[in-house]
Amino acid sequence: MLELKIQNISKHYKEKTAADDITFTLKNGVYGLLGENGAGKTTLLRILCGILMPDRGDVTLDGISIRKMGAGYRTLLGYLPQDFGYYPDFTVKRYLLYLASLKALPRDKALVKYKEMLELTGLLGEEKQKIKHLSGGMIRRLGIAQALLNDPKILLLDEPTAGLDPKERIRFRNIISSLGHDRIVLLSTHIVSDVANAADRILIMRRGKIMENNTPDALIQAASGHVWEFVTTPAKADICQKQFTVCNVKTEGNELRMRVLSGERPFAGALAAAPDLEDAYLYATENREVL
Amino acid sequence: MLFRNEFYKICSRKILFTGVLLGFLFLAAYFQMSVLGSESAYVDGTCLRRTDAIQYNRETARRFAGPMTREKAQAIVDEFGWHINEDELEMSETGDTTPGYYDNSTSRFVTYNLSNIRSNEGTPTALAASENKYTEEMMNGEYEYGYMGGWDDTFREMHMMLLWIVAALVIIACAPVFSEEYAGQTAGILLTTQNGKGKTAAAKILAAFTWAAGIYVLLTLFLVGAFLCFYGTDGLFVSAGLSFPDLITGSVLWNTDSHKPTGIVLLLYLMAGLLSVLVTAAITLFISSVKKSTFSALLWSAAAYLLPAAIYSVFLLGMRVSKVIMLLRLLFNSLPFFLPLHELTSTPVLYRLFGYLFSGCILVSGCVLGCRKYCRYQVGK
Repeated sequence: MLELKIQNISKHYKEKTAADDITFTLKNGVYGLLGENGAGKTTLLRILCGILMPDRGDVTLDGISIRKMGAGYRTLLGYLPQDFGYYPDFTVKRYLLYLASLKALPRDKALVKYKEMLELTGLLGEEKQKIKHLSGGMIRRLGIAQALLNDPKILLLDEPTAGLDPKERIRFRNIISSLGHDRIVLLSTHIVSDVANAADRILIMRRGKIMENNTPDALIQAASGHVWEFVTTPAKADICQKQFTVCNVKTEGNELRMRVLSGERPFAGALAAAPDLEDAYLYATENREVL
Repeated sequence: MLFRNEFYKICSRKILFTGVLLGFLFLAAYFQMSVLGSESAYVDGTCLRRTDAIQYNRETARRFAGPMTREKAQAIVDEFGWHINEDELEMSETGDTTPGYYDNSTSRFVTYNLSNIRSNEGTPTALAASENKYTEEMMNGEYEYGYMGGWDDTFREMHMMLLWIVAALVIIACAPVFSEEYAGQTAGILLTTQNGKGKTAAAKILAAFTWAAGIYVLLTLFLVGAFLCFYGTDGLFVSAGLSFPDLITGSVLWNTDSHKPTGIVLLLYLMAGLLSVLVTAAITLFISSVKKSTFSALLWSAAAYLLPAAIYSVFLLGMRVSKVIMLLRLLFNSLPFFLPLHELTSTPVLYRLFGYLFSGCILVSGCVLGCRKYCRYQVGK
């Protein structure tokens, strides 16, 4: 079983700290990396890929620094960046076979794998299309296909569902769930539902630090007793928004049904609600100290 | 597979196809209008133009082919007289002039290269005196004369244009090689793959060089083919010192090339041209590896090609000669813009060798540093 250790990683840009002394370990399984925009998720993934040097700290795979492993580490890697760059004039087939040659797949294996990936991502039949003629969702799926092409043991996906429609999103979640058995999958997103069902563990990142590293159940458990639901008037709702962290607001006729985070019952009529992962995420980011 | 795809990336840019097509058209138009259009000969006052003139000049020169001697030069003057510039001739609408006037490439050669035209305020009256070291050398029988039409400064001039066109195309083709991967954010994926660093960088450089060399060879073949079709091969066997008098008279420095056939010297010149194209590609590739914007890489590469030539022509040539200035001239002369011209002037062998060595170093450094910079690229920094 692979063990990818992130040890005291720090990365600073001019006036911003993107990673601040981050330490954690990844083993086989699906990890969801949650965090608001600008939390440092992309920087962390780039460091894990070896395409960005940290100012401090190191990443090791089974005790060996990934810098020293070089191409040996990259053989195990599959990466989908947030801003997926592609060659508009390449056809889908040419692009995937090009990536296969970059990933050092033998030609015959590449021809089999690229078809498998097309099938997996629902792009079968689009082989001869130029990438510039594909829709945004299809391009994203192509990105996922290239990341999986070499059957990577470490799969790093940065905002993989951006631009996917709900059906494609569900399809993607199912793919990810099936991948985590014998590899490390780290999936960075700011959309909680992307990782709610697929992730074995959730890492929550904020301002360059890992605030939580736990199972989804444990996170939900921690938020238990802090989520409340009540119906109120629009005027009172404004006051509530200032007082509490609001998880959800839903219109019901002339009134509003609110779901808020609070250490104690906010109103006499408020009912305790069973938290979901979104509530747990909000609870962790709003109420916990940074680890 | 890597090479094929890198090559495809370069070839799939439509601007390059347009550029190559425009280059072809420009060269063809220039050849048709300026090169063939300037061909003329006069037979007893009757003006011959274009291919008729070439045919007549060729036949005339063949009569005097062989070692060039003072006696032969005198015989040419006796038969045809001196060449007179067309703007000094009285011409009819058809271009004909006074009967009795003869002019052809052979008489022009004697007038410009073997007469006393320079010492006599632009008017030739006799063959140059035997004290004139260079002219005397050209008539001492060591140089093979023949019809050299086309395969002289005309070819050099057109080939220089071709080199500028190729340089522009090479810069356009090579500037995006690395910078586009950064700008298009594809580097993020490429650099995380097993072969994404060293092998891909090498494949990119190889593809860029193949394209640069390919386009140079293609356009050069077109040009050589056009000259062969219209001027034949006679000029390729003429002594290079007669086709390119600069090989003898341009400098007091020693040069060994002037007795070789023009064809051999032109072949060396064309190979030097290929080296200059590859050096341009290497410089552009290095700039591409350090620039995140393709446009910026394009501008810097164009500046790297043109600025040394401008500095050399505007400043260095006009400055008082000192050791530093000589060294700077040597270095600037070894850059792609001037590099091939060494073969057609009296540049000494050591000077030329240094130029090629220096260019070779730039070529290797450009590739190595470009590769290194690309492989160490930090995404998002």
